[in-house]
Amino acid sequence: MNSSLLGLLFAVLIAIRTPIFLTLGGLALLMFWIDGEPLISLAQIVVDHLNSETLVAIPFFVIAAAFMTEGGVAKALIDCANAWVGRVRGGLAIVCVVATTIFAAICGSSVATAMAMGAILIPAMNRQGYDKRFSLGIVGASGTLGILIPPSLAFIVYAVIAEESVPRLFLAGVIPGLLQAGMFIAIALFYAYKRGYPKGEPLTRDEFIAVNLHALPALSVPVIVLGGIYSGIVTVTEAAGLAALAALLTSVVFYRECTVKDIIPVMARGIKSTAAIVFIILTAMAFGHWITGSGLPQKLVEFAAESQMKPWMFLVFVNILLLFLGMFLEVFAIMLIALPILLPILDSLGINLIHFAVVMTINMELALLTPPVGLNLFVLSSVSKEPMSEVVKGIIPFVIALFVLLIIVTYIPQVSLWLPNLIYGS
Amino acid sequence: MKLSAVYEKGIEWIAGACAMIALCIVCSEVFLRYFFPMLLPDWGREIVIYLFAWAIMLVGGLLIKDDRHVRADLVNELFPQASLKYFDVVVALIGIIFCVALTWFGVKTVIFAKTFEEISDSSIQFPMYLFYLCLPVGMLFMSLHYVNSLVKAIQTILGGVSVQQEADHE
Repeated sequence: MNSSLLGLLFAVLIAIRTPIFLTLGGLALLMFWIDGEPLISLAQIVVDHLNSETLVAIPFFVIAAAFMTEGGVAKALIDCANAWVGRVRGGLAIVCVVATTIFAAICGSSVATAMAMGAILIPAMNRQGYDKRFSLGIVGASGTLGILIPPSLAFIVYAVIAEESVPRLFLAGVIPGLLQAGMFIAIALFYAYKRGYPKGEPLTRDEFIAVNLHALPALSVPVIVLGGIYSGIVTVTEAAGLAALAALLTSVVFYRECTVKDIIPVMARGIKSTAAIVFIILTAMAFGHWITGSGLPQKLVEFAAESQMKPWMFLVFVNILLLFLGMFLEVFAIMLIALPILLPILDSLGINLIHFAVVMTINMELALLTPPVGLNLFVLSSVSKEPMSEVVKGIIPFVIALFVLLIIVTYIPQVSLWLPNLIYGS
Repeated sequence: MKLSAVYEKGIEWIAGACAMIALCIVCSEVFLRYFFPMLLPDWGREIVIYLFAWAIMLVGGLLIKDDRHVRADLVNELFPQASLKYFDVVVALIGIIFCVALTWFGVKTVIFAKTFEEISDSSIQFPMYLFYLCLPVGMLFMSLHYVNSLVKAIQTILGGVSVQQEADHE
């Protein structure tokens, strides 16, 4: 079967709402059969990739995110951020960005971040007279930090496919993540002064200390995770396990929003969310195995070499492609479909794979915010009970900022590479 | 309690318990490595992988039931609602073919590993067929869920109930 027919079949399956794992798995099965490869190898590819240590980090981080979302952590972080930055004009909007950045350093999932923060901050901002669109926009856009600020599920999935170092990838996301948070704070301040949003109430010294002490268990989680990884005390998988344990204890023992009875059900919910990602990973691996064997990536590499494509041109093309895919597909689906095809070309053009991971992740952040399929848009619409159109209108200034960040990160690789190179050497 | 509810609760409980045991193993490994390194077993990590593999494969069927497998919903905007029920039939058929194939070849992988007595490299020499078994078991559950989806989709077509009406009803 030629590649254009395969591409057409792929598009048709996606269009008729076939789950992504089934599209990739079904096509892999068909192609193995047509090529006369033994079909048992498909089952072996699936179990071989299931037997992966890096993959184990995903359920632990997802379980940590589940406890963080349901366990009262978001409120503690918001109160803490409010104590520090709430007194300036538009304080609650800045609190949103700061608290979301810290929450992102705990949980690794954009959707969980937007859900946890949105449930508390949107009603609070509405009460203080913030424009509804603005509050929806800032929560939704800040929520995307979940996959850029380490620990990030997107980086772990990328590491599995590209066989890159997870700690390096995590470090590469730090400066772009902080840059993004800085841009969002600037937008928040601009609108706050333009529209006269209120300042927060100052706290007494005792209140300030109490709020910070209350947030301490939640703040200890990123310290355990990132401190553990970068001090070399624990591996990424162990750090993920410790994050899940810390999140469990924080939710059940300190904030008591979860009870002992909730532990197993919350973990089961975490496993279900993980399974939705892992099924795509496994079938994408099988599909990628066929694609590699078919010689398609090699043909694309030859095409790139013959057309004398420069790395910057290729990055423009990839950014456009990913933005387009991001309008219709979910984050992990895009990564898992595109990466096996893109990796050999990136290699041949000499594009650093750590740098590309950050470029791809910012594209994925945009994918979370661009209609018709943007998960953060759905989450915010459901949390706030506002129509999707309101959320989309609110998100526009932040999407523009993300485009600017994407251009900066794409064409200045040092923004992503400086920190990992400083710590681990180039 | 209905049988389906018992099955669902049972699977969720097993998946949650697997995750809890895996969490205990990983955390105790970190503790042992720093305080009692001589007691650190060499099999902890592989058991964690097997537990998660089983948990993930078992909940695959529930994701079909809850419609939580990721897909592009662009079609909702592009096609009339009436066409969705026909697409559901096609998707369920593809699901049945894929899951039955993986069940069949998964069983073959298990038999292969059992015949050649494939074991893990660690000191417990874990029989690998028990790990590989998660694939055919999970895929069998998923096949059954896709059969259920197919029956529902056909009933919807025969009964003249649109997917949207059904969703509204639910």
